[in-house]
Amino acid sequence: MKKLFLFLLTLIYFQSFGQKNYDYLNDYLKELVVIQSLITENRITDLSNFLDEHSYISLKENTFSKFEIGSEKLGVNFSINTNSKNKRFLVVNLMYQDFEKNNFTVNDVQILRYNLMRQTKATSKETFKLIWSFFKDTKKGIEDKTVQGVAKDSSYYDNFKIIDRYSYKERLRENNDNYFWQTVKASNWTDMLGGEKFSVHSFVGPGKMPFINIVFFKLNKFESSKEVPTTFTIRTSQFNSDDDKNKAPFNVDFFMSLKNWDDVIWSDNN
Amino acid sequence: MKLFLLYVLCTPFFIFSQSRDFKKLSKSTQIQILTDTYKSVGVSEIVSLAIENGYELYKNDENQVFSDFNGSVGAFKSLTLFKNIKGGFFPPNSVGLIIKNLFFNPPFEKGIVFSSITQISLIEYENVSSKQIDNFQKRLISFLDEDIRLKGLEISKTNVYDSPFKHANFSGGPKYSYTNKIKYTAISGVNKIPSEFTFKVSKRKEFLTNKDGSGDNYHYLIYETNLAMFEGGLSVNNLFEKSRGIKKKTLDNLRFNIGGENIKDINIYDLKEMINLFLKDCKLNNVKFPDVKEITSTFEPLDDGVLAIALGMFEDNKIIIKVNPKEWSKASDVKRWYILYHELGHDVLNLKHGEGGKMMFNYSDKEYTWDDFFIDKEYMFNSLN
Repeated sequence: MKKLFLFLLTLIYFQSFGQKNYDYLNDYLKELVVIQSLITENRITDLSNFLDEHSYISLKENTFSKFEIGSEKLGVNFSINTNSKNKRFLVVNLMYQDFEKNNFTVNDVQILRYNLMRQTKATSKETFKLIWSFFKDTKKGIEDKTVQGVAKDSSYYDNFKIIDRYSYKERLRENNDNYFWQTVKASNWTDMLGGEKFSVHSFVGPGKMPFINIVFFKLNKFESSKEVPTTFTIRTSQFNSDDDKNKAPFNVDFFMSLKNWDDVIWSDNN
Repeated sequence: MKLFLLYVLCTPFFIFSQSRDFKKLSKSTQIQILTDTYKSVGVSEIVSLAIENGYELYKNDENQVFSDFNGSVGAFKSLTLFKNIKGGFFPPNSVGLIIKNLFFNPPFEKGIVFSSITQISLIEYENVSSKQIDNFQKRLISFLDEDIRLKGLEISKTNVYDSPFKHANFSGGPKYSYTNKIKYTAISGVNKIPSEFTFKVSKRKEFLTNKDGSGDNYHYLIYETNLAMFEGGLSVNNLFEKSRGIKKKTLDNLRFNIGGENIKDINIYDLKEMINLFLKDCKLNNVKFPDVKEITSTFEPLDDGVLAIALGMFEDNKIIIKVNPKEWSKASDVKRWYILYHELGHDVLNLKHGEGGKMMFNYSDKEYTWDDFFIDKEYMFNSLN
């Protein structure tokens, strides 16, 4: 009994304090997407209201910060910058209010990035997310029976099952004799645009911009203990085509009310 | 084992309940003034309450009640209250003095107290023993500790030994060798946001010799409640005021900058340049308009009171704007832009009065602010999307 009790206490301790909860980083990401979108759509009054509603303060021109004072949470700080083509973008840093704590190693920053983007992906062995434009084509291929079956020597529908408009199942080979079913879901996110130096996570979301990019400088060539900044940037592609211009402006309240990033597939116009 | 479980279960109740002594003391206005645990944050209300409870206002060398300071975050004022100790919460027959400094943002009528330093000195003599004074100090510190615990979450508790309580008002007074510094967070009564506070407390004893050669032991207790949000003393109120100013500047820069050009840099006697900026603004705001092939913009005398007129409405390839030089020369820059956008709303966007919001209203205001201009223009453009 005593041992069991001690074990339970230990378990509770590690579950409560052993792992940091970074779920709030997803909220920061949502807010930053809204801020960048409002700047791109030139809606300064809406931007001003949004910054107030979400407790951003400014102690330096072009820079805004948000801290939950006294909390162990990281704060977020961003500056509004302009590139040579007069396009505005955000340079973002995650930091502690207590500046003495702000020494992040490559390892720390990788963990922060993972947690910042974690909810945009939700990819696992059981679930895979695919940007809508690719998803749509693949699903059409399944419906038209033009996609090759993954498992050899099986009939077509042994390998694919359409679930609904935004998901289907695919049978994949795990090893020689074993297969498993993976659910493929439509997503607004893709990280296909990255290159040698930068990883780029693109969000095809609401509003007039074709997409928003979250850009990280790649750290894989550095030692994991090297101190690096937490900096990343948020950039939008400017709306140019008539299609973009005809899109509805970014609906901030509706977007913020959504629980998950893919609750609405924004580029699905049908 | 059962005892252990009982202890674990009961601990939270013990931790979060108020002691009987705290409940009793917290109801007394004397204690509220002494420990800065009053509900108000307004300096004038706090001073009134203190005077009602027997405190007096101290006048400085220049016979002034208020002393002015210039800190890194702007000007602030202080005033000093004092009171001779007589019984009550103190040990019976106590002899001593309370000195209280309040620091606040001017003006006095609307000022907010952001910091307060209190020093209590008690003399040890045949009717009041050292132990009685010590017990009193412990009781008061325990009260202050409990108050912090009930209203906030403790972040850290440290002892600082580098010259605590440096403030000018106490520079000639006793020197304290350490400070017990408690950092905690609580919801601010002013802004209803979680804010960081610092509380400092210290005590010391000194034997002071009288003129006749005799002497007494003086027991000092000092504490500082600091409502500053960040180290360096920027009060929550000051911080928000400062933030609002900087934010406005940043957002104005975003607004004034239209496609890389600052609206204030445009020559307001070059009508074509102004019209081109309007067209650029339409593009940036995703407003579709016909391909303009001809711009005619001239200064010509018009009826008194008429600043400008548009003559190219529904002539999609042309912009024809006439501006009254007499009225134009008298108008402010913002009014010139407002009226020009109104006329171009007719001419380029084919908007009638009643469409596109206030910018397209029939009558112009006597004067406009830049906020009016940007908000009304944003509304007009958004109405077309």
